[in-house]
Amino acid sequence: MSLLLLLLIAVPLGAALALLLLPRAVGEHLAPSVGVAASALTLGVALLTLAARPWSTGTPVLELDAPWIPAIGARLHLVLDGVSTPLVLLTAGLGLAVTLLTAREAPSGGSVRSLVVCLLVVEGGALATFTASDLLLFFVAFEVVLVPMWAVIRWWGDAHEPGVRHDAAARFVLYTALGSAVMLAGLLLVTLRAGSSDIVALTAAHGAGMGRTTQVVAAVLLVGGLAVKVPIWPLHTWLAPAHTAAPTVGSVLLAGVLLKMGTYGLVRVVVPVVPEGFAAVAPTLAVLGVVGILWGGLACLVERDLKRLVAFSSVAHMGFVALGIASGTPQGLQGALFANVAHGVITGLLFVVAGGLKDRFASARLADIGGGLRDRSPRLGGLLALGCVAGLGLPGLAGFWGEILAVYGSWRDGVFWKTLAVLAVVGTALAAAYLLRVLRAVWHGESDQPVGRDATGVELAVTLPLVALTVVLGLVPWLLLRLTEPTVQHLLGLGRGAV
Amino acid sequence: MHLALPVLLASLLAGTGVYGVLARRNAVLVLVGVELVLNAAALLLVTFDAAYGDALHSGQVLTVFVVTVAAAEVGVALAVVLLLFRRRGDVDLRGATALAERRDVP
Amino acid sequence: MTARLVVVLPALAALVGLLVPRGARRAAAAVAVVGTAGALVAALAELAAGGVTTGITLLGPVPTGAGVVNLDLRADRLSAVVAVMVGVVALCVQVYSTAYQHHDPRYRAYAATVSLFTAAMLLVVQADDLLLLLVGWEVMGLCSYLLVGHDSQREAARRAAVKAFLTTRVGDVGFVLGIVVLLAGAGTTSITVLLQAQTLAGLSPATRTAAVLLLVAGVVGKSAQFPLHTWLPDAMEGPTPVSALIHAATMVAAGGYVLARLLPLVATAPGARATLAVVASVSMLGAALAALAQDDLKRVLAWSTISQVAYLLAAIAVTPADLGSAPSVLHLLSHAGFKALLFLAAGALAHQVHTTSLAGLAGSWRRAPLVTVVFTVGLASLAGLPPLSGFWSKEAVLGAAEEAGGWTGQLVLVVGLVTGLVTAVYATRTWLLVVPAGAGSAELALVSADGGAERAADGDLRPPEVGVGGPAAVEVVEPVPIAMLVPLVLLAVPASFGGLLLLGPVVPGAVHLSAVTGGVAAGLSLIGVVATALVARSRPDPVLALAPRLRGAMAAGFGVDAATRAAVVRPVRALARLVAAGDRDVVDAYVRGAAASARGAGWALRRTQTGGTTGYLTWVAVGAVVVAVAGVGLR
Repeated sequence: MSLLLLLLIAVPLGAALALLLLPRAVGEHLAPSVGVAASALTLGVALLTLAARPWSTGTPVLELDAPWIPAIGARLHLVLDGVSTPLVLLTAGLGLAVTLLTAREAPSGGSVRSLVVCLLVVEGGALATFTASDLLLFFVAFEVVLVPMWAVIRWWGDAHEPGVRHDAAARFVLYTALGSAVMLAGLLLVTLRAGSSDIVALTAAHGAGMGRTTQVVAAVLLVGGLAVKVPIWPLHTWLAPAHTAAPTVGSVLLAGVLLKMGTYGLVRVVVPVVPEGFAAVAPTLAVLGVVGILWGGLACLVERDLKRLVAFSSVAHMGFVALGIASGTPQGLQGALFANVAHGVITGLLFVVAGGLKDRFASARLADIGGGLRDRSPRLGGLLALGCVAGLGLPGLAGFWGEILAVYGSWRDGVFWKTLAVLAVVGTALAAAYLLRVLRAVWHGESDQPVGRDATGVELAVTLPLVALTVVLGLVPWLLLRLTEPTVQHLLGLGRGAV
Repeated sequence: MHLALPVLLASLLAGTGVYGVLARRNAVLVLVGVELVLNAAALLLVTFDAAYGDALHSGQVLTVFVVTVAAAEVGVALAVVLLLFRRRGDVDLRGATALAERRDVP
Repeated sequence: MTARLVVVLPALAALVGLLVPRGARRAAAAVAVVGTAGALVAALAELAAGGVTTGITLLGPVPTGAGVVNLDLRADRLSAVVAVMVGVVALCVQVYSTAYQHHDPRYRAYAATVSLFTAAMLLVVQADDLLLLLVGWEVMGLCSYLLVGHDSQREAARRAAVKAFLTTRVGDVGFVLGIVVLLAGAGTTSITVLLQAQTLAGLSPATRTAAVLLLVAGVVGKSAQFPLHTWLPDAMEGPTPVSALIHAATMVAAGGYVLARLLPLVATAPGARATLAVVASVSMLGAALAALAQDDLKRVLAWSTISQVAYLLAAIAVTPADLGSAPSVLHLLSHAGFKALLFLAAGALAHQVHTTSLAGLAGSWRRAPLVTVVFTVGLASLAGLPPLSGFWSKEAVLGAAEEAGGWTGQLVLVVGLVTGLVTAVYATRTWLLVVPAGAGSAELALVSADGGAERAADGDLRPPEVGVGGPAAVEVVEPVPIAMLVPLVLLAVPASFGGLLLLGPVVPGAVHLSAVTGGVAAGLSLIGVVATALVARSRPDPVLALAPRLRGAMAAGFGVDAATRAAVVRPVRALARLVAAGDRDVVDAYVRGAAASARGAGWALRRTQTGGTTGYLTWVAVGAVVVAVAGVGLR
């Protein structure tokens, strides 16, 4: 069973390597099918891991431990538990989605083989991040995705404005690399002071062996570094340009996978490892999260570009995740983990649609797309409407449960936390305002623009599972919440049912 | 054995070498200065290796290392000097500023 | 089990309705009607079964990490009665729509959305958990948005749709927070558990007041009460059957239903109840006055809805706890009956002349006599003329207010009586403007849609086609289709005889009737009718008797809309622009600053690159000395 973990990472990375080794002509020819096959296989492996019943206990259900760099005590230690499983499934699913999209409608900008290799490396790196149980391995996996993502934005991005695209790619890679450097300092501090780099052991120790000052310094460094990736206000300014310039597949991976790595790091490496330090940082993180909710919502109210708008809405949604994590309560953490996955699904859907619109109208500006989408291309319009409605947190769709649980979690004693909770709920009203603004401008109404191509087969094949997931998670939230609950209790150091 | 003599000799060598490096304009003489500094270092290594009786003789090992590196370095450096002479007709360092940062290129 | 069917059947109808092929109108209509009828049958079965059943699993238990929220349903008399009402109105609307939306190219989506709305409303009715209720509550809002914006080619419809959703969403900020307060305070959102005496006793008075106040905020938004009422008159841009279902009978009354459901909790928060009483009183009288000065039939009915829903909220605000929620529920049911009837009749009349303005509808009697008869019944019931249902339910509310006493009871009683008078006045005015055939009307020709004059295929509102056969113009109209007449006649029954509900054990709780209050209320209604009729003898429109400035203020809803725009919408927009600029010029400035400083440092260091070997070697020597000194000094 534990070999599944190795397969999970080895399949996409191995396929990428194999593609690179093939002769050029053969490689270009085979790349799309190899990409789809590899990511489908990965998804299959990810689904197989469910057989280990990760919802049954808070501790890892699958574990793979092998020596890696003995000189510094780093080990190839992979684990799977209730927190990693949803993200592994999400990554594998979105990986299949982006390779499918590439196979059918590859963005212009260069060799298809290179693009597929980049996507597979991002997928493999993300999967390694979500299963790593060694701080060094976590860091390496965290960094592996950076350069391929940079390449995806730099080469296959917005074909209309090369300057903007290059700027966005450079900004993305420099900003996140800076964050990673800060995080690395935190990771090293923890490793040196606690004498171990094994996350499972550190979680069990629950901060024992580290003084308060060490914990606070480590928490500041780790949260500061991870906050860039999440992103948390005011470290978010790389996000909108990167999303706007990236091709559809890049935006989907950015929103659905890369942002999740930041929040996953917070939950996996910060909350249980330096609990005292995190408690000291948490109020600040919560305030920044709420500022992000309101800031993102307000910015969206006047944003003219659909992709930028969705990017800013990501800032708002990740604000809820940050608030939930910062609350330090099990329900807040549950909400954060749920919102994390829901955001990946919903924003993935929205980016597929927004990217499709940008391809059709050569611009993602609301004015250029024009109104009346629901008559001009009913399928695409319907997908956009559903994505927007889910994004505004409508109860009964996936966006809702994470937000309400995050707010519930932050409804703690004291005016400070209650104010934050109230402001966060106000943010949901803002979300309704800006997403309905999109629908009013694009979906409703009529336009003399030419009738665009409606959603193609591959677009439907990619989006319909996301739609189904949005509805299912909205109606049956316990599917996910039951999966994460034991692990959340474990991470917070609570016995099961102790609350 | 008293250490004063070898140390004094090493200082003399190093001082002469630094003077050569800083004051001469002839590229070959500057190279000679660099070699003098290197040899001062090698002399110190041998001296202290003998004085402290290191079991591994790391001082001597490093000296051999320095000699090897110096040989390679002189090989490359003399080739450069030779090319400089072929191109410019002299080996005066004052005029050899073709690698300066150009101000007309942003 | 039946409770589950009540919710699931219309939801299935919505899903299947979206899957039928585009253009298969009959299939879409059949699915919608069958699904709704199924829900109605299930609701009737639930009513017949009687008893209280809780813990009917619908979506399963949700582990929050600090407990479990059970997304369950409950079935009792209150839910069964309201579910039957929703089923009846929804079925009437679905049948009616098959004719009314006959030319609609998006009928499939329309019917499915109405089905989804029905499911959501029934979910609100049947929910035993506040979070599950919130699901239905918000999905209703979404369907309202979709249906108001159904004819989205018109800018007014688009604006109204967004306004309707956003305004209710603002109220829902309170509703969501109220649920969170209860969840954090009591550790549960199960309605059954929340209403148990020991749970209520475990909550501090401050928590109870806060929770109820916040819930009331949501109800104020959804039920279009002052100051969040401005969306409802604008929402009349939606198709008329939708207005009948959502913006009269069900969704706007859902707030009253929720509070009636939570009455034991509401009763323990006197501060929140007093607030509700004041809000309801303001809405009641203000909306009735605004209804008096409208010149569009649907807007008259919309303002009248605000005023009538305020009655049932006022009943909740004052009813003594031991009476139970009977008065408000009774008014909810009777209002649903007569207001749905009025809207559907208005739609039938407007369908003939393609306008909803009172002037355009004048003389309806000649065009559709049967419809005007039921329309008259509806107006009389609205005006509270005995023995129609409106009289009895309003009397139940006023009786409860009288029983309650205290300043809130007296406030509601007095305002309720005055509003009754105003209601009779505007009902009579509406009747006078719409029904009687004026002198000098054009000759009329009823032409069926199949064989008659050419008609536009899209069925949007257009001025009536006028025949040009001779000097005496002939007005050509279609007769009202049978599919629209049947629901009208059906709905006229509860509007007339709804008072009989008082006799049966249908509504939970007790109703207090007083001969004096009833007499005064009926007298005031009669006075209103007669006085308006007298005033109308000398003027074309009775409202012209008022001063023009007062009339203008009433027609504009006393400027609340403009005030909201100035106080909320503009500041938020300005803030948004500020944030967008701040994001670009402040937050991002630090990022660009980092890049600029790196470039500056590079520029400075380039200056040292002189090309002189001796210079470089000097730097090396200096560096060596510095390192050596530092090394020795640090030892």
